[in-house]
Amino acid sequence: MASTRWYLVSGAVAAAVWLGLLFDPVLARVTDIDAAVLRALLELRSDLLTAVFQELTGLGSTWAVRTVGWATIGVLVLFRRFYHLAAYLVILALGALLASTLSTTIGRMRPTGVEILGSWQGYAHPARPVAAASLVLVGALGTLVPEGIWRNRGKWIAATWLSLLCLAQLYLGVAHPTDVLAGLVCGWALPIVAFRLLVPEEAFPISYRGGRRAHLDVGGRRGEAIVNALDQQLGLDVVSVEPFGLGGSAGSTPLRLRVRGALGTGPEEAVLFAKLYAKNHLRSDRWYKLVRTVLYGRLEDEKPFSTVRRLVEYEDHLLRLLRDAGLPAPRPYGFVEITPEREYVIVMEFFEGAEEIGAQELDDAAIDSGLHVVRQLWQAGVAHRDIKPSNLLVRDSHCLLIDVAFATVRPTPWRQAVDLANMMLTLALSSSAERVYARALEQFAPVDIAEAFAATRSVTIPTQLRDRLRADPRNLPERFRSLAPQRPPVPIQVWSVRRVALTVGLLAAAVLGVVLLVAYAQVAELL
Amino acid sequence: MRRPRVGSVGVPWLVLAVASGGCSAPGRMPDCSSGRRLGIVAQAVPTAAYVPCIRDVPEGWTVNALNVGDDGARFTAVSDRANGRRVDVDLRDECEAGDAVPTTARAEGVRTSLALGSISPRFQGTLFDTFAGGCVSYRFDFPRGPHIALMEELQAMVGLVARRELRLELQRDLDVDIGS
Repeated sequence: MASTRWYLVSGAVAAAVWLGLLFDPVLARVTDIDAAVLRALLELRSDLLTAVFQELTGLGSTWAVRTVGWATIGVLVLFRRFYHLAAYLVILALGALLASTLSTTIGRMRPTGVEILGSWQGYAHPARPVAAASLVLVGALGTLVPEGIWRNRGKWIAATWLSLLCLAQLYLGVAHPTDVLAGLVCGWALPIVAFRLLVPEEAFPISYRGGRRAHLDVGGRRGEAIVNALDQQLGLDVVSVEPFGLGGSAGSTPLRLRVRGALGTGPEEAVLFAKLYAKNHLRSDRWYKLVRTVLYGRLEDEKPFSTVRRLVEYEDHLLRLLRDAGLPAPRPYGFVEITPEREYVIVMEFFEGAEEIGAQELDDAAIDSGLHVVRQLWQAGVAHRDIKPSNLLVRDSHCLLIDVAFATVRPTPWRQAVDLANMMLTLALSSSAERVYARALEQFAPVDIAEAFAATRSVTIPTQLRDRLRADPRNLPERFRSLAPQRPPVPIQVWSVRRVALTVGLLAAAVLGVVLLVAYAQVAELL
Repeated sequence: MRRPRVGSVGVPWLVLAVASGGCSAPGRMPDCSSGRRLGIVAQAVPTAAYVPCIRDVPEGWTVNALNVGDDGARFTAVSDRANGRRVDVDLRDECEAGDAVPTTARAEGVRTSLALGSISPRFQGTLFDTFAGGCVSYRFDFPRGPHIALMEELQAMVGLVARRELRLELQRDLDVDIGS
């Protein structure tokens, strides 16, 4: 990018000047030129302008910088943009550290020969208020404002803000012109380059369209890489790749592929379903399982996947296992590697004409089909562990099961019971508890159903299903409990040395985090 | 598609930044032999006839945290025999010496006085160097016993440079005039 080159050139020029300023003859010469500019500005001084510029120094005041800085951090946390947040914190600290190091190393005096009309703190070079204000403004633009018209507008606002601040510094005789320019290099030019390096727009687009953070952009270079990988590794002639059903998926980026003449689809165009997995999905999985272990103990297999490859291999294996067991799961077509150990795409059958359960009232055949899925899972010795409306599709009164990434083989009886409860709750959302219970008695014993709802807690119900149940006025879990034989609740808290140690470790890490945050905020001049 | 790794790139720098933060923000100590570093201390109190500076740092002493602004200049020094109690050296345009007792003047044209808060169990108080247009105060808190040596070391460590000498040096080296 041309502007990046210019920013780097300005950084190189500034570095040369900084080196020169360590030597008295260079410092004297630069100061001489600076003084000439400041003397020229003396001509403009008037009581009115002085009052105006003294007010404008507030643009670089500590409170202004901290307000923008903390507001940016707050918004990034709110929108869970942790990559941007990490980049912002790193660049803010490095920018402040660079300005601080230069300031103490060069040790430049404030301007002489002109009356200083404003307040000042510390050495003159670089102009710290300019550097600090630039840093937080560039940070806010680079991490909060989407590229395009809004960022351009933001740049103009920031440029106006900084121009007024620089003018105030010069007019009031608080800083030399080179101090102000150095402040801009530390706070504007170098941070922009750093943001482009750490969070490039094509890899980390900023958007407020409500998409989940786990969903990756499949356009641009990534889109091309996906098409090439599908062609080279699976022989698929991909016509288009588009995001599909993002609302129901938080752990991957679901895609709909249009392909031609492959996998026995003939010369006609066919539609396949695919899921893009990346490192961030793996991290989400790790955090999810860690939090569950701390809150409830090891209820089941809470071991996180060690690599993205393992995660995709596992899902591919489960798809094949479920198909072999006769379950109505999508037919797998394998997976492709986009970036080794970082990004993979798994490809499977697309259930054409199927719609998410809940779109319409279920008939008995559909309810039976859903319950039969659980019966088949039990017989296959598998638990799905994520039965919820978005993972159950209905086509011609037949339930189809998707998203088997969380499934486990040889689960505990508790886990199998929970699958049954979640299926019955999902079916009841589109019918009634009484009807689902009556149909369930055709395939399950009353004690099985009683155990299923005795094992059910808020934590055992997937988030989407829990949200729908909350929105439903019927209190379906209680309704099922009243229909089934009475049974005491199954305790789900499992205590172990590992859980205690993990909890203590997390608390210690949280305390350490607060200490580091305070230390960081002091370095980054946010406290 | 490879995404840049903020963690691997930034975290080591961030840790370094945090680790070095305590000593990086304030300015380097004002060395009596470096006019360009003392210039800004003189600018902090434009009327002061003298500015405080560091001559030699005695063994066991640490000088840090120069803070300078339009309201004055201050830095701290701490001895390893002072149980962590630091000495605050503060240049202002005036001091409230109150009933401080005059003692041997530290430089020509300087009135040195000592105000003691206590002499036992700790030797606490403030030493003042008052001169035309300004004043330097040294607030100390030493343990009894080594306090005599510590007071001597403090006065040997912190010197006073006359503004007129500094002005000549800066005019000669940097062609700037800090005013008389």
